[in-house]
Amino acid sequence: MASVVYFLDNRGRPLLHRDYKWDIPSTAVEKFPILLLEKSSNGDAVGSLEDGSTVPVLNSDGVHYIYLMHKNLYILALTREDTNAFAILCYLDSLVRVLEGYLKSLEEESIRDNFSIIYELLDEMMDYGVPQITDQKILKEYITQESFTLKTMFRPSGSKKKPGSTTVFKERMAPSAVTNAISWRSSGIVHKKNEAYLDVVESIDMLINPKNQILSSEIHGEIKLRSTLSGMPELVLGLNEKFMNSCINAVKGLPPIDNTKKSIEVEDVKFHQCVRLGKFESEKMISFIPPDGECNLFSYRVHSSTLKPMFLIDYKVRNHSNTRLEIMVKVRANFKSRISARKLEIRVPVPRDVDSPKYHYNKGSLKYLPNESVILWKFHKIDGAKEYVMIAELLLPSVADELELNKFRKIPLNLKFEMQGFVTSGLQVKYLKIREPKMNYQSYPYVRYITKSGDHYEVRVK
Amino acid sequence: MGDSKLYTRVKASDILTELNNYEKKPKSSVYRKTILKKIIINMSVGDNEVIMLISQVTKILSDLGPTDSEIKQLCYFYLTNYWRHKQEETLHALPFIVNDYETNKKTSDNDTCLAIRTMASIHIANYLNSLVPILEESLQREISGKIRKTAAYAVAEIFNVNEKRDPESNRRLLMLLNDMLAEEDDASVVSAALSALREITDKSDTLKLSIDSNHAVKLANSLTGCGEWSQVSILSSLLSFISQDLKTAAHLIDTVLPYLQSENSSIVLNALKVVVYLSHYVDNVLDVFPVLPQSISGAVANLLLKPAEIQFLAMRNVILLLLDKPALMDLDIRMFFCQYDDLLYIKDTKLEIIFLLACQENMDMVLAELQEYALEIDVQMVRKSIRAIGNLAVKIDATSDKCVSVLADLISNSIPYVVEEVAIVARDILRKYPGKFDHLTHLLVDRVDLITEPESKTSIIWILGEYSSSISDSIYLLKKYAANMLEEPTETQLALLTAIIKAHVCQPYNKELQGLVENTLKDVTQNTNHPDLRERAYFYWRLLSAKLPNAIDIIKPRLLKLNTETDALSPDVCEELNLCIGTLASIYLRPVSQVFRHVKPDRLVDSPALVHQDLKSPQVRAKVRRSTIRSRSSTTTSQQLGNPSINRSRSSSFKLDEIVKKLSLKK
Repeated sequence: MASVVYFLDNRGRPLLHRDYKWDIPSTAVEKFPILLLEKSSNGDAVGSLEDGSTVPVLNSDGVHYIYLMHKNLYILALTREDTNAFAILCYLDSLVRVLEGYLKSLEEESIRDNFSIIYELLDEMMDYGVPQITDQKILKEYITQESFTLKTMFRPSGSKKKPGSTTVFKERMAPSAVTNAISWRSSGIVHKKNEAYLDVVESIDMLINPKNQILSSEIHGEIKLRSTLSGMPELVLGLNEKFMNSCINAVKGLPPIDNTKKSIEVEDVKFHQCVRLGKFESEKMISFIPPDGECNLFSYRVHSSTLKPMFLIDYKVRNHSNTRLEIMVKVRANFKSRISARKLEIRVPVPRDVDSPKYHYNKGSLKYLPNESVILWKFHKIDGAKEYVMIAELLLPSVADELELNKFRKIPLNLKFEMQGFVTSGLQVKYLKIREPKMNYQSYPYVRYITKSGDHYEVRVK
Repeated sequence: MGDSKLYTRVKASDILTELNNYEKKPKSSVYRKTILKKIIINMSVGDNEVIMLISQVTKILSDLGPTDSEIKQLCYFYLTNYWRHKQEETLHALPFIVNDYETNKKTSDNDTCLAIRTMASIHIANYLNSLVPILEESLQREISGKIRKTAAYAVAEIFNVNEKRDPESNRRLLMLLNDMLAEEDDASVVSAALSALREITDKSDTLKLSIDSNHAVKLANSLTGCGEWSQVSILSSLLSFISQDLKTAAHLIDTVLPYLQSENSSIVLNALKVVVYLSHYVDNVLDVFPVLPQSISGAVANLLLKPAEIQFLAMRNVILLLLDKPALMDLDIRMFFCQYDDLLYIKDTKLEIIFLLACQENMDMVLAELQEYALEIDVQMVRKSIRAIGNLAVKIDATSDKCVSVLADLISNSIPYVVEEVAIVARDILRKYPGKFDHLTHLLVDRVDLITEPESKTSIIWILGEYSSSISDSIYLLKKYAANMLEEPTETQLALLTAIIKAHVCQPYNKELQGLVENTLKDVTQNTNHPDLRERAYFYWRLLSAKLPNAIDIIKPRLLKLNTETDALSPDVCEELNLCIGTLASIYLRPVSQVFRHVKPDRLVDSPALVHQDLKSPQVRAKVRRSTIRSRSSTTTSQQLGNPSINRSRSSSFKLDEIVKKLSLKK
C-alpha cells in the first residue's frame, strides 16, 4: 500500500510527513511540483499549480504519486507497487475528513499548530501503509491529545482533560469498539434525556434546458438519525409499504414492480453498517442498534419519471452595442399554491467586471457578487404558482471582451431552495420504535421531512 | 496558542546551547519538550541537520518518556527517521523501548503497539534480536486483537531483513501468521494477517499466497464482523482464491454483492473487483445473477457523487469494464454528462465514457450533448468533443449522417479551432464512407485559410491529394501550400509531397499539375536536408520517370477499409486488466508489465470452473467452455502457504498503449 504520506503546502513544500515503508527517497517529493506542471493536461503549462487540471495519479521514475487537494493543501501518498491505488485515495479522503473533525479546519496553519497530534493520528490510522481506522468516533476515544483549534484559547496540548468522567479511565486503552462486533457503539452510554430525531432529506439534482424540459434528474435521499439514547437501544424503523417493497427489490436487484404508474423506483439503497441486512430482506424490517450521536442511517436514490421542474425559468438577454446588457429572468414556482419554498436563491451569471448594476424586480432582493460573477436573486419565501420577474441592467467595461461576453451565457443558472414538510419520492416514515432491553426507559422520536436542491440544480440558457 | 510558532528553521548548534542552558533551570521538562518539538518540526520539513542531536533526543526519551506519552511518541518517531545514519546512538534507546513494551504489554494496548511498531521499523541486528521473541509472544491467541494486528504488520516489515539474519525465526513467524488465517476468529486480525502475508509473498519469488474454498467462504462470511478497512483487505485477498467449481464462486458473489452498496468507496471498488474476477468462474453469470448489471451500475452512480479525485479513478475503472465486459453494466449515459464546473480531467474521462457508451439508440441525445460541449468556450473541450463526434461517425455506420450534419453545422460558424479539428476527423470519415460526404469536403475547402495548426494542415492536404479530382480548387490550393513548403514541419511536407504526386497520377494530363510536380520535386531534392523527405522525392521521381503503367497502384493504392474493430483490446490484455480493478494499472490503462518491470502480472488461473464467456455485447450471452482442462503442473520447488494452487505466468508485452490512444481523445 502507501509508502509515505505527505502534507504539502500550495507550492508543494512539505509541512509534515509520515513514512511507513522507507523505500522512497526524499528526492521524490521534491519532484512533485515539477510533475504537476509537466503533466498538467492544460496545454499551456504556465498556469498556476492550483488550476486542478492535473489528474490525481502521476508517476515518475517508478514512484507513483497519488494525491488530492484540500483547500490550499496537497495531501500526497507515494508508492512503488501496483497497489490498490483506489484504496489509497479513499484513505486520503477519509484522512482529510478525520483531521477536519479534529482541527475544525484543515489548513497550513492548523497543521502546524497540531503537528504532534497529527503524527499520533497518522500512526493510528495506518500501519505499515495499510489503512486501519478512519472512523472518527473510534479514534477520538483513544487519541488522548487535545487539538488546538484556531478559535479556542490556550490549553497545553499534552493535557488530558476531557469532558465527562467515564472516558478518563479508558485513557490510552483501545476502546473495545476497535475489535468488537458492534464496532460503532461502546457500551455504558448514559444520557439524561433519551431522544431520537429522524430527518428525511431529499436533494434534487436537475439539469433543465432553456425550454424548461428536464435533461436529467435525480433524487438523493438520506435518512439521518441523531440520537441521544442510553445503553444498547434496539430501534425499528417502519416505512410505507410501497417504498419498502421498492427498496427490497433494489437490494435484491429484482426489476421494479411496474404495475401502476405511481410505483416508486428506488436505486442504490445503502444502510449504515448498524442496520441488520438479513432482517431487512427477510422480514422487511429496518432494525438496528444506532451509534451514539449522529449517523446516516439510510441513503437511496430515486429516479422519478413524474418529477417536474420545481421552478420554471424564462431568461432573456439583450446586448446594447457592447456597452450595456439587459438580463431578464422570470421565475414561476411550479407547485401547488398551498406549498411554499424557502431560501430560494437564483444565481444568474453575468460577465466579469460589470458596472453599476440597476435592478427592476417585484420580489426578493438582488445583489451583484463580483467574485462569483453572478447576480444573486434571493427570496426568503416563495409561494406555489406565483410568478416574479427581475430585470438587471449592467454597464459593461469600456474595453469589451468578446470572449467574456460569450462565455457568461454558457454558464447555467443555479438554483438553491428548501421545502419542508414533504419529500418528492413518496417515502413516509410510519413509526420508529425504541427499546432498550435492560433499562426500559421512555424515549421520544421526532421526524422531519425536507426537500431541497442538490449541488447541481441548474437551468441552461440560450 | 498552537505549535505553529515553533515552525522555524533552527540550527542544531543553537538547539544544543539552548538545551544546555535549560539543563540547570527548574521546570526544565517543559522547555525540553518545546525543544523536542522544534527538532521534530525541522525533521518534518526536511531539514536533516537535527540528525546530530540524536544523543540529546535519546536522553530526553529516557528522562521524560516514561511520564509523557507525547514525548515518547515524538522521540520514537525521530528514531525511526534517523536510525540509519546513527546506528550506534540508536542502540542506546533499545533498552528503553523493550522496557516500555514489557511494562505496558498487560495494561496498555496503545503503548505496546507503539513500541512494537517502532522496533519493527529500525532494522539493526540488536533490535531484531529483541523484536523477534516479542513478536512470537504477541502473535499468540490470548493477546488482544489490536496487538496481534500490529505484530502481524511488523512481521511483514522485518521479513526481508530478518531472512538474511535468521531464516529459522522467519519460518516460525510465517507459520504463526499462517495459523492465524485458519484459526483466528477476529476478522480484523485475519485481515491484518492477510495483508501481511500478501506483502511478504508479493516481494518473494518462492512464497505464494493461496486460499482454498472453505477458507474463502469463511473469509467472505466474516466480512460483516469487521471494520471498513479490514473489509477492503479481505475482499482483495479473495482474488487469491481459485474457484474449482461454479457453486463456490456463485456463493461468494452472492455474499460479496451487498458490499457494492457500501459507503466506503474503496470497499465498493474492491467488491466490484471480486465480483468481476469470480464471474469468470460462473457459467452464464448473467443468468445466475440477473441483478449484476443493475447493482454494478448503481455502485458506479454512487461513486460519481464522491470528490473529483475518487470520481476520476472510479471512471477509469468503468472504462476498463466497458472495454471488456459492458454486459456487466447497465449504465445510464446521462450520468456521465459533464457538469459545467467539472475539472478538466473529469470532463475528459466522461467524454471517453460517453464515446464508449454511445450507440444507435442514444445517439440523438449524445450528439445534442456533444454539440453543446462543442459550443463551449474552453478550446480544449471543444476540440475533444469534435474529436468524439468524428470518432462516433466512424464507429457507428448508421449514425454517420447525423454526426456529419452536426459537424457541418459546427464549421458553418467558421471558428478557426473548430474548423481545424473538423479537418482532422474528416480524414477518417471520408475514408470510411468514400463519396458519401462530399459536402463536408467542400465546407472545409471553403475555410481552408483558417487552418494553421500542423496536424489539421496535414489532414486537409491529405484530403486534397486523395480527392483532388472531385475538389475543384484542389490544384490551386496545393500550389498555394507548395509555395511555402519549406517552412512547414516535416510531417506536413511529407504529406504535401505525397498529395501533389497523388493528384498528378489521377490527372496525368493536367499541365498545371505537371509543372507543380516538377517544381516540387526539384525544390525538395535540392533544398531540403531532411533525408526522409528527400528520399521520398527521389523515389517518386524515379517512379514517374520510369513511366510504369501501374504507377497509380503504387502511389495511390485503393484505400484499405478503415477497420474500427481493432479498437478492441486483445483478450489477454483484458483478462489482465480485469484483475487490476482499482490498482494503478487501471488508472494508466496499461498492463502491469509496462508500468512495473518487476511485478508478476496476474492471470486467470485455469480451473475446472473457468469459463470464457462473451460479455462484450450487452445482448448476447454466448459462452464457450474451455475444451480442454489442462492438468496443473505443481511447482514443487516453491513453498506453498495454505493450499497449493497458484500459478502465475508471465505475459508478453502488448501494444495496448496504441489502442488506448486511439480510443481516448487527443490528450
